[in-house]
Amino acid sequence: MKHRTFQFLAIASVGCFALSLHSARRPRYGGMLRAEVGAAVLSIDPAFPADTVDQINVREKLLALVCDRLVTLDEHGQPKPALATSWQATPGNKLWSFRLRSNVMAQDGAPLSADDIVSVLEAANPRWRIAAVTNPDGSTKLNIELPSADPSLPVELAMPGNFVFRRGANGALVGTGPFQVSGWQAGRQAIFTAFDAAWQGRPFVDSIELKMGRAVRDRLIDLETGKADFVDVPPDEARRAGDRGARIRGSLPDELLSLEFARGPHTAEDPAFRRALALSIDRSALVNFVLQKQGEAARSPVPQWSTGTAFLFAAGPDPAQTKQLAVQFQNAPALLLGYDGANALEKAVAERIAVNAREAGIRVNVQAESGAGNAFDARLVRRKMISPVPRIALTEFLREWAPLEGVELAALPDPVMPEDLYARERSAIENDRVIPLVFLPETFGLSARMRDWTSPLPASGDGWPLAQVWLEGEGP
Amino acid sequence: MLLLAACSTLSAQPQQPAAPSSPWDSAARELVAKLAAAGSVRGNGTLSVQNMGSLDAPTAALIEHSLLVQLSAKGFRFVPPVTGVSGAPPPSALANQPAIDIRVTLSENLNGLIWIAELRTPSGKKIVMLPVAVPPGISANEARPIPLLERTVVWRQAEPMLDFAMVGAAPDSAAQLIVLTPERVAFYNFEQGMWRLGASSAVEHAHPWPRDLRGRIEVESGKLSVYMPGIFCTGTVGAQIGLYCAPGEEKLWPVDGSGLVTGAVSQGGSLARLDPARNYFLDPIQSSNGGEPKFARFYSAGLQTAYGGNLAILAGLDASAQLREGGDEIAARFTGWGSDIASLNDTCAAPSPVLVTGTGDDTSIDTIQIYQIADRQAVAVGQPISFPGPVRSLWAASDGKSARAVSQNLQSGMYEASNLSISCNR
Repeated sequence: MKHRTFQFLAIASVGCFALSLHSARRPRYGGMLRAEVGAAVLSIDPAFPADTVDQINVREKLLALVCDRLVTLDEHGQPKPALATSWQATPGNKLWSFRLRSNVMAQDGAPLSADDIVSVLEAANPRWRIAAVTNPDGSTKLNIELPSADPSLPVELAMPGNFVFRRGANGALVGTGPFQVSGWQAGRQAIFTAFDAAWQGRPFVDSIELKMGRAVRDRLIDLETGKADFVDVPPDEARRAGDRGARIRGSLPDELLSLEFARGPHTAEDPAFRRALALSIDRSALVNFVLQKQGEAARSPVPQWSTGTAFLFAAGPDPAQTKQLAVQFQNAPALLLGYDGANALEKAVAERIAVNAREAGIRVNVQAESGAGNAFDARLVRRKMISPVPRIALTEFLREWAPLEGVELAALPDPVMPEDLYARERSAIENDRVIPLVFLPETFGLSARMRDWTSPLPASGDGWPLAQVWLEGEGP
Repeated sequence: MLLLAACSTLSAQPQQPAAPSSPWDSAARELVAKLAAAGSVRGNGTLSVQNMGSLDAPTAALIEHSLLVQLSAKGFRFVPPVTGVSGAPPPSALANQPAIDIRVTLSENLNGLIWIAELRTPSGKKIVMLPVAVPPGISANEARPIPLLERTVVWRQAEPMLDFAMVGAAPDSAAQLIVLTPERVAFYNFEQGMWRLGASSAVEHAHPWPRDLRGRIEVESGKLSVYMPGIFCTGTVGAQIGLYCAPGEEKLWPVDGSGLVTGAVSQGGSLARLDPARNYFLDPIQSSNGGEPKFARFYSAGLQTAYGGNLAILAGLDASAQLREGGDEIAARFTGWGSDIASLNDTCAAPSPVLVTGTGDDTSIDTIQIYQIADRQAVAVGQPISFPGPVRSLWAASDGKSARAVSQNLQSGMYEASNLSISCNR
């Protein structure tokens, strides 16, 4: 049973502590963890551009190995101390004060300074005014003045855009996290070594060897043959890999795959057409056959585990209503649906949608996107939740969908009542310009020797829990 | 979908049905008030409760009952739904369907419980929602001890807990509970039937803790000893609470409850050095042929007396335990043991019992099994008791009659302090 009283306005926690304690089989130190991922990350530096959703996602995971944030989130999305040990806001929530943890060593051997934190947070949040102040007891606090009230600033500081680091002499990132980068071949391979003086404690493994840009087939072969301990697996491959004996673990779903309609002089501008198409889609079939049961049908923008209200959205395809609506579009030009040609899952989903539509009497042609110039009526789009907190995740979705709607949507109040959140979710999709299809989890293959893997809270910015895992058979 | 068939009897009673109070009454009252504000609930109607969260079925039934009690107070009269063979109402019954249909879903979101009520009436559908805090004292899926080894949970908290000690026993007003967490020692006094925080003292540490942090509390004749990696604290308990910590002081830890026997574990003593940057003890083993001393690395140890000497059982880093009879010879190896063991005094139930944790990891439920060591063999005695999550620490009490365990409930995330004792009468 989950039990949490949500106190966004609360002056925050002093008693919480990030440490996790261990168990019956105590962890063993030592060994190199061998990891492989599909994305080819060119740089861990957030200032370096990344092209794809997968690259951005993996880079955030790598940053979380090397860097910390002022605040992280607990399993219920509540802020908990990290580089900041406590915080409070003045009435009005425009001026916040964060007490900084003392004696935090950075990976270059020098202490992390308040100035380091000020400069990186100012760069990431140019509208904030930040100042470091020394308290009478010698501790340091960070005062952050916001342009407008924000009762949830600690939650937002836990997001991946707010990693803390400083730049070394060569411009490289120097963090305070459990691992430091000791080798980097852009897009191909990286070595991370355990940072002995990490304030959260040294990781159990000595190092991580990460191979990037590996094809899914190669990753799974390496996992099955004992050449890899940790690989990312596309959700649609996870079930088959599990059937072949791979040890597969998944997160709660935090990525929305939806159909988004561009604004333009197309058939799809007719709301009745979009409604007919939305009603024709069999999401259960997408989950069961395309995703091999790794995921959830999406009928709302934010998943059930986050809001608790997703079950209220309408269920299932409605063949009778679909045909009734679709009959008026029998002679309409075919809808051109685009998808990411490099993503096999999207291709399979697009083709399935076309089949469902055809059964309803609607013509849909699917085509891989190939750079600029395609005039698609609709696209398959994957969007990651940026926070597990439903208000923040939905706010970002609404911001991204604003061009589709053609209007800037009003911000959600903070804190938001569940009824209001539900109403805003419903209004966001009621005209079917965005049709939620499925929620995708992150799925991983783990070697038999990897122990203590626990999936982190999705969208929390925590990355992979590789500092917490240990390897059977390693150690002194 | 749960339908409370028994509740049909309630509809015949006027207004407030007699019912024992439930910890969920307050939340039920609030939800019904919101529902009544959204639309009238007065009249005949159906109520269905769907449990989509992690509440167990008896709890969901209790909530359903609370809801019905509160709805009745608002003039709602429960009418059981009429169903035909197929489950759908027969055509003849459709005309007599009650006008009010209330569907409550016990859902969960990121923050915890959220109850959602849908009120369907001829004038339309209304939805109200209520985030619900779990009432104090309610816990799901409590592990139940089985005979032989008995577990008594004495304290729960969300903050990570390393060890605890009891001075006296509740309900004695002088009883005291001392809880060691990564950052402080907390002193609780038993007042008005519950433990109340009296004082706490920070454990200052200049160096980062290791990830698998360990700690131990010992109370002997009013004197408190706190062992942490690289830090030793002394203090007093009772009316005059005090704590003094000496960072950097290397103090040997007692690894067994059988008195503080001077000397290294492998030499029959009960003291060992915890590696301050790791999670294991280092114990020098003097080579019998006068060679360089070697080190045994182990997570926990138990001492027993046999053959006129002391036996040391060391839970090693390799998922096995070693039986040492002095010196560097390993007399026997026991496999399939967890990292934490505690050796207790003889009882009628099990001579020379050793409590042993299971072999799962952080993500799994755990067990503690009693073993009896005889003729260099370990024999499981009775059934293991299960814990709803990993056992984080296990230490024998100083009197050797019981043990104390700290575990984490994977359902609730709470850390639980338990006393373990062996029963002879079951």
